[in-house]
Amino acid sequence: MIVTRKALPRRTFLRGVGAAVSLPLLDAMAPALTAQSKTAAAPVRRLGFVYMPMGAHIPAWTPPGSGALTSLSPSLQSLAPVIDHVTVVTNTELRNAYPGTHATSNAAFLSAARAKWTESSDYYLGTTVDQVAAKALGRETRLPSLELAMDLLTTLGQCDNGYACVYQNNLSWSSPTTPLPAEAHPRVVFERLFGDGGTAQDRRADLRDNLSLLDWVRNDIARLQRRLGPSDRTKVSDYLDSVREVERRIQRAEASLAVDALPDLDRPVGVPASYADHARLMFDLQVLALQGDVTRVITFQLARETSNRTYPEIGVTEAHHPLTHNGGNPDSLAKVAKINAFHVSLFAGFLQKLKATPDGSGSLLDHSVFLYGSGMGNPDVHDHINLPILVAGGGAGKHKGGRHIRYSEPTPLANLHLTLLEKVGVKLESFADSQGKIPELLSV
Amino acid sequence: MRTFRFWAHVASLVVAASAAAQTDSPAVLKRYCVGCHNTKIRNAGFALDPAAILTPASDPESWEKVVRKLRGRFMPPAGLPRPDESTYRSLVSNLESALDRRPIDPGRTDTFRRLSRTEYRNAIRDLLALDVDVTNLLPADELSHGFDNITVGELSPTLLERYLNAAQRIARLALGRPARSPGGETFNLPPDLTQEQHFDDLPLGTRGGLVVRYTFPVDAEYEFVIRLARDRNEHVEGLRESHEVALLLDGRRIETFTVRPARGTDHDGVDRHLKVRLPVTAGPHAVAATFPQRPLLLLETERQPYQAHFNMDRHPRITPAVYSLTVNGPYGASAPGDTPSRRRVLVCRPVSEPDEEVCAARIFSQLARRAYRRPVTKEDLAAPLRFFRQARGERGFEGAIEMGLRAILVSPEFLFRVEQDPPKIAPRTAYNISDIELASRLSFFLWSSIPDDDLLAAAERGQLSDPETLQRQVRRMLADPRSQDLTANFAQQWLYLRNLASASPDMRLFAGFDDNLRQAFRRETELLFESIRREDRSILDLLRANYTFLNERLAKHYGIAGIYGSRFRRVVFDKAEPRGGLLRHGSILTVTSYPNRTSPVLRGKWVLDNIIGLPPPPPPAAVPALKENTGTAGKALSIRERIAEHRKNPACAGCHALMDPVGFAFENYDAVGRWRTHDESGAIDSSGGLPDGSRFDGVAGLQQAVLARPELFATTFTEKMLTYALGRGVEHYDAPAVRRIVAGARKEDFRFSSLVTGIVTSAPFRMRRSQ
Repeated sequence: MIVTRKALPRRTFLRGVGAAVSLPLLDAMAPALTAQSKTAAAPVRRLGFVYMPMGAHIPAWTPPGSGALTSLSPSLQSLAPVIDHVTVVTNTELRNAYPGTHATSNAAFLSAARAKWTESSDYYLGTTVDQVAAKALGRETRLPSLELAMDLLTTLGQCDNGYACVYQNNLSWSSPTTPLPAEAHPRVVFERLFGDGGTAQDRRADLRDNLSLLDWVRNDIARLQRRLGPSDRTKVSDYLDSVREVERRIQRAEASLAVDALPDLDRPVGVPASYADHARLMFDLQVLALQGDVTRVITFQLARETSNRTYPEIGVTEAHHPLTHNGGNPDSLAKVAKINAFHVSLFAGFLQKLKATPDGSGSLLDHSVFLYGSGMGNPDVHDHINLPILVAGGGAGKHKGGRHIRYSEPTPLANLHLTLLEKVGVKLESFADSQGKIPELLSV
Repeated sequence: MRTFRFWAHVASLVVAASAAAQTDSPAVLKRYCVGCHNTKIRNAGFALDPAAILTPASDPESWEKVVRKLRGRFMPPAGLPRPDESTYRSLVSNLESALDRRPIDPGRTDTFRRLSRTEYRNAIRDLLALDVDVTNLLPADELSHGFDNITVGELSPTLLERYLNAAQRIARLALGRPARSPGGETFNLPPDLTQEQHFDDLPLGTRGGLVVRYTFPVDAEYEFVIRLARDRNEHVEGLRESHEVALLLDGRRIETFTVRPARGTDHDGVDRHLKVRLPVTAGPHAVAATFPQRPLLLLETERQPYQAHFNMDRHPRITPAVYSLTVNGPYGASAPGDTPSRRRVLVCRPVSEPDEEVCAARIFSQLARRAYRRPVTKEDLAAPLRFFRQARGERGFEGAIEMGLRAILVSPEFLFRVEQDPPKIAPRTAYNISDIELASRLSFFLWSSIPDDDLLAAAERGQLSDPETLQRQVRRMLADPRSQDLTANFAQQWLYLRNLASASPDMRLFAGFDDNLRQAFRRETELLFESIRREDRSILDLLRANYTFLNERLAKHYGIAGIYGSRFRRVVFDKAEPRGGLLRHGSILTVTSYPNRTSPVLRGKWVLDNIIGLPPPPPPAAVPALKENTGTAGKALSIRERIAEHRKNPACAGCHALMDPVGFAFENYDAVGRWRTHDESGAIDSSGGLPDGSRFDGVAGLQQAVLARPELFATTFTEKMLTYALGRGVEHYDAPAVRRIVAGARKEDFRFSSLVTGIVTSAPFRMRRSQ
């Protein structure tokens, strides 16, 4: 279904079952959407994180040698067209993810923090690196950050290993007690980014309505607060923070309405049937979000830990999770490597799209930096050392690719987080269990 | 994390058992338990002081664990000297009665609990007579303790934004005010749905297609667009000759189209004409797109029954299929029309302007009472009325009501269930929750929704805490169709039925698997649970039922002859059949399997978690890599041999020795629940065992062993339902209440209502601990 104000003679997002997904909007929309046209002076910095579940078959992942990235490993072959924008970082670890579980792999990936072992609502983790960045980078955009995932359905009985499901489902936490829900439905993502139609005037009226409703929500919460005991009051003050944040977003949206009209885009109709089509669509939406400067910080989970997804499109009809517990069976290892390579190829396609999208004097890829990887190393034994990690993008002149940084000793992944934060202009002394920065990444 | 040592290593430390029943509990403990669980050895990190058994209430958390292990006869492990049955019984009963003498601790539910997504949908349905698709409006809820109504304390900015947008759309739809520009909604069918036979909710004489229950906002014209399923080459599938496609409104055919095969490779135009614009009255209608069945078409009759036909590579469709149905509009809206929602909201119509505010106050007052689930105060009405006044000039009376309704729908008093300690209560004191709070607990437990007038009125009169009124309300509520949510919400989560949606068996091995089968699996289990609830049967029937519910699709899958058509019906078996209770349901057998094989581990764990209630501890932190057991060339290994390594490695054995033998009993059922006597490795060996030492063959044996101590299953059921009812994990201090519920229900042969009533009248449900 297409809901547009004027019918556009283009292919819709999706035409039928398994139809090739096309997103020809990019060039058509470029003039209206390009952030650089407004702020040509300072290149916009964007930071993204892509999570790959259940580690990797490391021998097929790690490229040979170190220093210059001259030849790619089997799992990374698809990155060849963008190799100059990619740095492989080998031998990082997440100490706080131990004891080794799937829940902590996901939870520690961006927080590098230890998840409190609980199945109830008293979960506690840490603020994640993307949210630290969002506090700085997100001030000027309509959405401070965007959280995306691929799993529409909740799975029962598989994240109960003593850890509440929040750890396994949410990559992004704005505080140690606030996981941010990720969205997997393309249409819902689209409407969050670009609204659901109407003229600029209609939209302004909607925003005003929502602002005055929020005002009343705040009063109502305050009314509740007066009736409560002291410890419940802290919960209420968290709610008030959310109210303030949404108010801020609406004010930003109002301001941006004045500058540019909403793009006239086709809405995705639903969720593509095939995993690859769905993932590509989710990546396309990220290109749009960055291009339109709706947000500058994105997290994306390619699948959940312990996912039992099969990948028939690449000939893997066994479920991913049991395949990783293979006791070294060569056939299973080959299939795990195949899944890793497949996930990387979807990311590589995304990088190519970013590269092909002009942004100011360069491309979107030039002005972004993405971290791709997993919180688990060898999934067969649930360890959190020797993690599969890539850094991609130009980082607005602050990241040069084509390199392989190989540590001889396990090095905290938090060092990389700290370094990436510095790259996007957020200077911190330390992050979680970091022991320093990664100087090789800072020197361009 | 804890480490688990295998009991066999210390077997020699245990003294031999005698046959005589012993009632001296400390002596029994000393004799059978302390050999492993002492301060030196601390097996499983656990030491027992036999003298402490005389005062178990001083450490109830540990002793409740002991009781649990003893009640299931999990300890001492089979193979070691064990007390005889009467000694077990007296030991457990001594311990339990000592533990039950503790002062009541009803636990503390969270002060703020957001409505779950399901509860929100139901609340909107009951408040505004409006069905909305919440999956497009709100994010999914997180699971804890196996249920999605536990972790509901947070309100992230994203969620708040979604609530604001949802309120806008819902208020607009309820008042019948169209969006500013015509919108649309598309309904897709699952790509692996075979559409060659009649679907139950469509008229006879049709095949395939879908029905959508759609709420039309106003009397106006709407456009309906049908698209057909295509393959990867963008070719319409199964279109070899012309076919008719029908569009139905409320079961009446309103348009018939003909589709013809494409001439070239471009199939773009094949279904482009499948659209029509028609006037429709406001309110809910059933819209359907389907294919009129053709009489005795050779292609449709001469084929293998029930092969899935939806995949171009292996199972090409042989007839066209509907891919999506879109409703666009409204165009040229005339009037808001007469809809259930408008009747519900607009309880008065002002005749003159001075009337308006009085009427608005009446409207908001009745909405707020239901939405906030309590008597409304003047203060509650101030905000909606202020929004009403502000909007009145520009938007008219109904537009202003809509704005006031939005205010109610985003109020924290609607979105959150708040339970407050009474003023000036001492800390950590058990108190009875108020009747108003009790009304909400009841309705969210039994209906996953807000209280209705009857319940709220009883609470407002202060009668709900009266035991007789309470029981009467429970009976009334269980008889109400809204209690179907106990199946749709509670049972689906308890039994992992929701995981069916993502079950994707390997199509090379299970060529017949399609969405039709997935739906039939779910329906079978839902209908069994519904039969227990509606007929108020014993919950033991969930396991021992000699009947089940089948349609033709499912019966063929199970190899049961003589069942025709898409309608489900009760089928009673008069002799031993491999079908019947839950443990023989395709749904459960499939969600506990991997796509390409069965998993005795997952099946065993499912039984221990959900039936016996003694879940094995989580796997050790760092999983030791298992040696791959590849066997000798030319001979396929049985699943038993392949996972034998689990039980050789001491770090794994402790738990796998518990789980795997339970799972082996299911081996006669393959990964999609079909009965089999052989697999690729030869004849099936379905011998299994329970951790209590019982040994048996197949599911019949497992079922018998489980039912030998029915209180175990009843306890598990109670704990799961109590978790769901309270919205918090069940803790050791709840154990006395659980025992009371089970003991009470036992007198009524564990009838469904006896357990529900037991829960509703229990201390954790009726009381709360102050902060």
